[in-house]
Amino acid sequence: MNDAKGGFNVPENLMVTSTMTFFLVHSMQVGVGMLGFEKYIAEGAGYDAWISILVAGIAVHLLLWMIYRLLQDCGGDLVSIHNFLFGKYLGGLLNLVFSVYFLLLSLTVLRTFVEVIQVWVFPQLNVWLFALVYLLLAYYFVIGGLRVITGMCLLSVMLGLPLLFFKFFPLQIGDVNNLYPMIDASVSEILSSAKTSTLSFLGFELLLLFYPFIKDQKASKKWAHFGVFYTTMIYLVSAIVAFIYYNEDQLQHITWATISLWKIVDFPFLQRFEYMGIGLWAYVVLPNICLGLWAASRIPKRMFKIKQKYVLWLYLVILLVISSLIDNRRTIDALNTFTNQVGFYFLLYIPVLFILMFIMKKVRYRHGI
Amino acid sequence: MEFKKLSPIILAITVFLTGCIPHQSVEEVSLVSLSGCDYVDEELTECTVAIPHYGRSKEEVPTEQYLSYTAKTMKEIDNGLESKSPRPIRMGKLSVALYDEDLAIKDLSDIIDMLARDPHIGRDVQLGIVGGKTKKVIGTKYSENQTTADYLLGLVEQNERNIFPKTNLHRFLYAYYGRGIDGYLPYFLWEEGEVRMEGLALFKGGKFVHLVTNDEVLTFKMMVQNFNQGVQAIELDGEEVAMENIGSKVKYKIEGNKDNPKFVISVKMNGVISEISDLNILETNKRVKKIEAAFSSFFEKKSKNMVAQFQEKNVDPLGLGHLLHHRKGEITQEEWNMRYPDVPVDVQVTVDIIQTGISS
Repeated sequence: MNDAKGGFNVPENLMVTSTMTFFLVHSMQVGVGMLGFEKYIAEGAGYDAWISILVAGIAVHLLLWMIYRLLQDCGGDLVSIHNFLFGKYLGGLLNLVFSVYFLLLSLTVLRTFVEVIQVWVFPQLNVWLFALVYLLLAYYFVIGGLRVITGMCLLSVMLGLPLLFFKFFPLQIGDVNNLYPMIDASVSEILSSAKTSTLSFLGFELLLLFYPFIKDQKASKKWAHFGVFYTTMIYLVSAIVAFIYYNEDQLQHITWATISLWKIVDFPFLQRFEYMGIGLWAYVVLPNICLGLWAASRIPKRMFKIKQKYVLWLYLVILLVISSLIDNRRTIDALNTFTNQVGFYFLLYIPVLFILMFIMKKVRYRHGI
Repeated sequence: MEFKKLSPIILAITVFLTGCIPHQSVEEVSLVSLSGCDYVDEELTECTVAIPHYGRSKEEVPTEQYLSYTAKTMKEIDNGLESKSPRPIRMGKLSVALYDEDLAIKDLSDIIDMLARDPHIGRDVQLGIVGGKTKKVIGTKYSENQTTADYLLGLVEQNERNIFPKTNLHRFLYAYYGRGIDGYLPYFLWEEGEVRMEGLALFKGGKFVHLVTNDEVLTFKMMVQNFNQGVQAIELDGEEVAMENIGSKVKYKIEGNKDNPKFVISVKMNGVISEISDLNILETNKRVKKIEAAFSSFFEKKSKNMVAQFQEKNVDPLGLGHLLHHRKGEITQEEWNMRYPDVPVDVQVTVDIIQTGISS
């Protein structure tokens, strides 16, 4: 029943190939969360938290499958689904909520990354000025459209790749005993850690918006799942390396485990690798902010038929103001926890949509519409 | 089109942005390579730093400048050192940090916390304890073609390839924060313009509590890591026999349960006979067997003796509590402190002599 409720057509020259779904999904998932998630997930299940990552990964695969079913059944994007299920007004409200949520994702990533720079490299950094420049750069990408952002995603995955090799250095002096006894935590502890890891996995739900831009949508399914799988594996490896390198009591004293791990990397020509790692991370973070902004500003565009540019300017100003107002570690930590929780409920919303869609379809068929 | 409008703005911002953060080039800061802190009295601490000044040519050995300041807190010392220096002091290239014995006996916790917190300090900084004053160790020129920092770093690295176990800031912090495990650092001694490594200082938390002397270090390393260096000499039937270690492997086993554990440390060492007074005696296989047995019992006796000393002082550099926690289940530091002194520990050493050199 591909009757495209409130459907629209994306011109072919704006589309991306199905392979690119991999990069879009993966690069939106990996962001600032990865720099310090090890400490937070270990709070619940201790060093069994690596199982939580697998659990969370499987859950994300399931949600991704649901998203694909939803989109295939409705043949549009999130806005069409909402309009189809809830009508114009309630659907419209939900759309706006999603728009704000995507903006929140961008904000969290931006502010947390600026904090990392403040703590590790330049304590005197002027937050709003840096945010302004970074956001202008993001503006330039977003205005270029999804294809340009996709290019950036591809680049960011390539640039982030070498950083994975440096996991080897801490492994050399780690102690595998830290992982034992395995599977000691209770199921509820493992699930609570899996919930804490939500923030690191957020981002794949953007598929709800860029789906119409994918050229061969059937083939993209495989690539989206590859993307999620790759993300899960990277988190799994990162967590295990950190758990082997630090013991459990020590990890609780370390805010950014991944950056601290880079400290042990030592080359004759480069003594302090973490600065380079943080520098490269600017490229990993950029597509996060761009995609978040793009999705956030796309929703009003679809709803009110206004130019995306104007919404984008508004959102940029909001991001700039809020990120300058947040000025200490506590608030940033609270922002991360808040986004983590909100994100968790947004993910829970996907199965709800899925079930509603299922019921709706049954009802419509019965009435012969 | 969009880009044409935006590009001048972006370009302008990139140019002006470089002025946003006060920064200094390498020539304009004093990069500390070596630091040391000494105990003065109950309240005061004196810290000394060495700052190399690089000349124009590559071959030239940098001259070192030494600054000292005495104050109560590290922050005051920082300010005091700045007040003596013509350029801002930066700790980014610190490679060796020394503390004197008295300070270490008092407590190093504050200093360790500061090192752990500072993002500019690498995790591979070499820490060390000095018997005597660090000021003397830092202020002495040991070599014509090396700075003192490079010299000390070389000294430690050379010895850690040999019989000393590996140490650095990360390893120390690992033990410092971990439960059921205590840290150790190399112990230096300065005598008449010469510095040498004199053993390992064992820490309980941030306090120096026990010294492993030089003749015990090889046995200690044998118990904490696999390695393939070092020579040990023993007396056998009135003769001096020396064996070179060419590969030693250590394994920890826990027998019994969490509440009644028994630790078994088993070491397998392969060796080569490097020195023996009368080579002819070595002709028979029987003789080799006897030497093997002699070395085994020598190492076993020595290591059991050392472990007993550790237990007496309630310091656990081998990380037995850490191991118990991970293999047999949750144990708190307090619980371990109570039980460690009475826990049975057995050491089994198997020595295998593979070669007896090129002469027989």
